[in-house]
Amino acid sequence: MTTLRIDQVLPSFAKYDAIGHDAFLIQKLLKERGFESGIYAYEATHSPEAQMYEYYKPQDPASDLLIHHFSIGSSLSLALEKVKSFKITRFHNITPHHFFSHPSMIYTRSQCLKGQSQIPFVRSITDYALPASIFNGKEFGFNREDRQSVLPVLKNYDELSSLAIDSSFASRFAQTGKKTLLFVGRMIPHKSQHDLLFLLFLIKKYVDSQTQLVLVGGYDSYYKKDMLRNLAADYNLSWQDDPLDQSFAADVLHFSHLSPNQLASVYHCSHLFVCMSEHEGFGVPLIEAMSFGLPVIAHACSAVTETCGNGGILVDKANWVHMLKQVERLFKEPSYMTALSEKSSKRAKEFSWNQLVCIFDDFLEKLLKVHTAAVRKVDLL
Amino acid sequence: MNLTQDHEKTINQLAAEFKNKKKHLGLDFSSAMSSDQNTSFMSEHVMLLTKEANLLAPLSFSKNGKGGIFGYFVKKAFYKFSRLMIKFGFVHQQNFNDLTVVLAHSVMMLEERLIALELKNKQQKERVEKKDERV
Repeated sequence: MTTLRIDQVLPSFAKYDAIGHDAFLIQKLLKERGFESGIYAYEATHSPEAQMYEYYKPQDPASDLLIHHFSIGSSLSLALEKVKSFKITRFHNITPHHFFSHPSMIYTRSQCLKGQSQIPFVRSITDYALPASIFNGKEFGFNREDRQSVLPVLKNYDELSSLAIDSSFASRFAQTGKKTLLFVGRMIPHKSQHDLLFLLFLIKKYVDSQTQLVLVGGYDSYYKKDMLRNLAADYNLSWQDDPLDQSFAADVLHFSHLSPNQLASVYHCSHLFVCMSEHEGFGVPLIEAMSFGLPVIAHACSAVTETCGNGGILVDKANWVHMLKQVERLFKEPSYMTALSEKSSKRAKEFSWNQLVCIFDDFLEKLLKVHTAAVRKVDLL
Repeated sequence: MNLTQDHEKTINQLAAEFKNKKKHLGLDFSSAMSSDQNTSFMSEHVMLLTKEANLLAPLSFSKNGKGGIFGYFVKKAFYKFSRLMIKFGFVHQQNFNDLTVVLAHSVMMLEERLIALELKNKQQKERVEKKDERV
């Protein structure tokens, strides 16, 4: 019996972004289960783990099954029509283009628009859907339960929380004596860091003046330079960019890049993870925060609601008073903080590596059954 | 400090001011279309654009065979132009944003066609060279 080949293809590949890492772990699991598996990038690859697909002349790499990671508009989606393999669409969601209204973001806006317009086409050439959340599944609209599985974005969340803490980070956070709010995510409008600045302003004014906000995330766009910095100044909030060798005295600390140990230290030293994001296809940082037992307050929208589950407090960010009351209670009642922290850890366990591997195996079993039936049908014809 | 009713009133006032500020900065997304409406509306829009871009694509504006450079300069020039138009108040920001998306998409389609043509030419050249070698 010949070994099945299950390949993956993405518009571009970088091993350390969430989607690239997801593809890398899928490949690892497939190889461990005896399948041949390669990763192909259509437009660019930034890691030796992926090979290039030839531009505009997609050579079928003789994959029996091909997993297409779909998260942005790309010519790849159209080129796949010619590929004869059994196609699985790993739908990571496409951010609605209206979040990128600034002229400097026309390229991103245009790519998202293109992606949204490609959904019906990609759906029509899909044999099996593999969304990263129930929300993504609905957005993709495949509507065939027998040919669909939900597989959360793969990541070894336990690994991050078991990393050694950077002592210099820990001591500098301790020196400030402040309560620390944390958010991890790219500096981009739909992640709504601007709402976090306003929340910090309110907390400092009405709950505890000794509070600071830590933002971790790259992408040095107009949004950070022209908007967030000005907004912080309007609300009298001091701002520090990448204070890797300085004290953490400012009201807002922004880290564009952190090593895994430094990121683990930031999670470890924070008191509360706050997410005001308006659109998430899954929400990897929510699970990361929960794996550190960090209490979570998040704006209930898109996939945030299902990822957070009952592990955090879901709020409507239009209701600032309610949000502030929740923060006040957390800061003033240690027992409430502990209870939420326990809920958070419990929820993270549902995304532990062992659990994710079980979900992956269930998906693989269902997929292979569907694939075998499809092959048999073709043979009979 | 416990939040009193007076505090709540002030917070709501501050929140209203913040909402206006967000509107002014183009960061208030609360009135945006739902994603379903958005997708169907944009699908039709993009179908039309694709048609237009495909009609234009054979007119190769490629400079030294590099389609990407053309696209890059068009985008750069259009960005500068849009900033000036908004600065002098000729066009409202939102209208311009929609126009930029329309144009950016057309340019992207053009770029893709140009890259495809370039690749086709390259392959033809290679085939001819191989033929010559055999001769």
